[in-house]
Amino acid sequence: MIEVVNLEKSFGDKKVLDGINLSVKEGERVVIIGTSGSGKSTLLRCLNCLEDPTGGAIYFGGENIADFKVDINKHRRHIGMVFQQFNLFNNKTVKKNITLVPIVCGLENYRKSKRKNFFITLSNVFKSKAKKQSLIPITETPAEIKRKADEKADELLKRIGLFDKKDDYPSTLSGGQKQRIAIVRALAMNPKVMLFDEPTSALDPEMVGEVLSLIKEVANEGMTMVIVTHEMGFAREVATKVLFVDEGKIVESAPPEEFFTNPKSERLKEFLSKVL
Amino acid sequence: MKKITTLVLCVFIICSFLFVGVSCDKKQPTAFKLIDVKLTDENYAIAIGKGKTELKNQINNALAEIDVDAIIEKYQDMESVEKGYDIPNSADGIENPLIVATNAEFAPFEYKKGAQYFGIDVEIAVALAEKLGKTLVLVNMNFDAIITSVAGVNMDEGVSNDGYDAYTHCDIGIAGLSVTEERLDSVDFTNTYFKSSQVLIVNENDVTFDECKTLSGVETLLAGFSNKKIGSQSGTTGEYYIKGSGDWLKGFSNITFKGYSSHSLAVQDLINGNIDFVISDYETAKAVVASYDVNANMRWQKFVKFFFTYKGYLDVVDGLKNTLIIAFLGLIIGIVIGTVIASIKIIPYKNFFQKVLSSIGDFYVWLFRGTPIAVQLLLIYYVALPLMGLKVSSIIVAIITYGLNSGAYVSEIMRSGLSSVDGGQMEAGRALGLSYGKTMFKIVIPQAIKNILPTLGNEFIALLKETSVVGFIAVTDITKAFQSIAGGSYEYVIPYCVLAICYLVLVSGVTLAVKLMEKRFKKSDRSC
Ligand SMILES: Nc1ncnc2c1ncn2[C@@H]1O[C@H](COP(=O)(O)OP(=O)(O)O)[C@@H](O)[C@H]1O
Ligand SMILES: [Mg+2]
Repeated sequence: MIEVVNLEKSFGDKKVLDGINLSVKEGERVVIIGTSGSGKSTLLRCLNCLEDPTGGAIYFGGENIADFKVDINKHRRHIGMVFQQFNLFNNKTVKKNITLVPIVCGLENYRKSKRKNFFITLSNVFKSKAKKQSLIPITETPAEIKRKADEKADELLKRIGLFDKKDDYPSTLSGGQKQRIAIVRALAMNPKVMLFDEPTSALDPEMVGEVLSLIKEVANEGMTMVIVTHEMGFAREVATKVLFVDEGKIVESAPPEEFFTNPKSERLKEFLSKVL
Repeated sequence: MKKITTLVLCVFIICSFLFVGVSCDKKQPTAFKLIDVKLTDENYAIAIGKGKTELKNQINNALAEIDVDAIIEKYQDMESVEKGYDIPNSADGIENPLIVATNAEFAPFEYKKGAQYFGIDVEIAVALAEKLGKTLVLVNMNFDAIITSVAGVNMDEGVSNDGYDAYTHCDIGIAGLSVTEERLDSVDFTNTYFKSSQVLIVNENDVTFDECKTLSGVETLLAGFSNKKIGSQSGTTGEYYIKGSGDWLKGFSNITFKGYSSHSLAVQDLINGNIDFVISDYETAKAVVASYDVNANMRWQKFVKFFFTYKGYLDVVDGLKNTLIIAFLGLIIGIVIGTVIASIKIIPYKNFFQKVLSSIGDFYVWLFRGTPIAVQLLLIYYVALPLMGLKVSSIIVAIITYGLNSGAYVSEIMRSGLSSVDGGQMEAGRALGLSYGKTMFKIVIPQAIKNILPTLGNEFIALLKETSVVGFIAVTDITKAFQSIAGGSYEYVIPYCVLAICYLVLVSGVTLAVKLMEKRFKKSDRSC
């Protein structure tokens, strides 16, 4: 699903990622751990080009998205991302947070199709019957796009038990509630893969559980995931593969059992002895 | 909170009215008198753009046919002149207009009672237009601006007479203009229609000049003064009489000159004791002395007469409308320009195109924050647009200039507003697949505007008050409207107090509106 080839990233003179090779297959759940400042967030943010890589390639959906020429917005719609600081839209209600982007994208596609159809119709006038191009089918009207987004948002909110908060603004919610809404906001786009950057690090301890169990639920439905976390128990439980990143390199990569019980490199042993 | 604001406002209004009444009653202003010695020999003539020979000949012929003496005679007793003229102030939609620049605060030559024009020059202009078969348009502007607007921009040689027209705002200037060397540099003059001279106005009990009956006697006294101040309307011969002007007027370097926007204000300052003498055109001096009332009750009566009986309120309503339109549309344009510039400036890694745009933005902000709005108005209206060969109505120019000016300020306000929005908001939008522009418009800018609402409110208030200089390009704003009333009645205290109250009410209204909007926005912002 995602193929990372020899990825490099520098901030000015500082090389933060140095020759990362990584492959994430469909249904895989990759957990990335490492010390603070080792480059985990940067790696994750490169996967949807929130940070533009300075070298190497990232293949997603059959294209190298590290290339500036590709329409990155189109690809990002298939890559959900959940941030440490939630980043809900402060000026939108809970429900609008979830429906905003699906509606905007839906309408964008709708208008694009209409525009194209207009030109096809125009050029068809001058073509012989056999050569006439067929129109792009438009399946949904704008009203339907909105209705569907609304229904989906209601369903997701009911699922996490926050339906009664749908008209509230984010500032009135607890951290755990915000993060769960951020997760369903990403889900509302029907992503192919989800990226989590320390989703529980900014939470009060009593709220960590509700967020982790939602992520596990999503994982059980077969979602492909890449997760940066410091929750070792959770990592062990949910991961199909665990990576240890140190100084911008992937030092160790193994299935969770082996990773935690039989670490090979000295750096990982040292790290695990500190956190476990 | 609202109640307190209203209360404070009302108390202030009442206090200021009381203050006006009481101060006028207690401090009986002294009267003043005219020193009947002619200091200069001047010829009043009509200013006309250089090279407009044909129009000049037509006017000279017409002037010869007009009985100017009869008109002057009629205005010997200004109070008795009943009939004024309603004259359009813009040539928009008028076929074959005669566009005349004037400054209607110069009785008895041109003055307004309410919306109607009166005066010797006005009657001459009316008669001229009739003889030329044109429709008269009277553009009432600051005196300093008249010559500029008649001269237009001096184009290079080789421009045909026809071409000249397009670059000139007004066809002729009739405003008690004396023919001087300096003015002849920029414009041409028709034949003389009136001979005038400068005279002095002094306080009633001032005996300095009582013994002088001759020009040389007065000039000897003037030359001997030290530490004396003389006031006059800026740009009139009075100013050059003191400051000197080439071979014609030698000037008095020992006397300090103070310039005012009208003769009446100079006289007011004389009464207040801030200057020692006023120098003014003879006819005007006579009108000022004749129409000045010392009685406070008379001030009110005069104001009421000019405001209601002479329909001064029509000007005020028009001025209020213009003030609000200019400030409001100016702010809207400012917000649009400011937002665009700020959005470009905060892009972290700019490509070449964005870098160029950002530098243009920097230059624009530097230019418009670094110059006063009055200068911008003058340059855009009298220089830039004519150079481009465009004729744009002055209210549109005012709106655009205030928009450009406020755009420079709003871009800085907006930049701080945008950077006050957490970077995570942009990241979340981008991560979901929205473009930079869409995220900016739907997520970041609304939050930025909420954060800077009070500052934007201040900008609007500043803009509202800064509109008071649009008189430079002949737009009637609320200040100009009250100035007209003051200039016509030679009574300022009350018009300016009422003007101040108008501004206070406007600004309070804006303040209140901003508060209400803030409250609405607060809904989405209870805990953070
Ligand atoms: N925008 C940036 N500009 C400069 N340096 C950065 C930037 N983002 C991250 N870094 C640096 O890159 C390194 C890795 O950061 P990060 O990926 O956030 O680490 P982690 O998430 O593993 O704690 C750190 O040393 C950090 O200072
Ligand atoms: Mg991090």
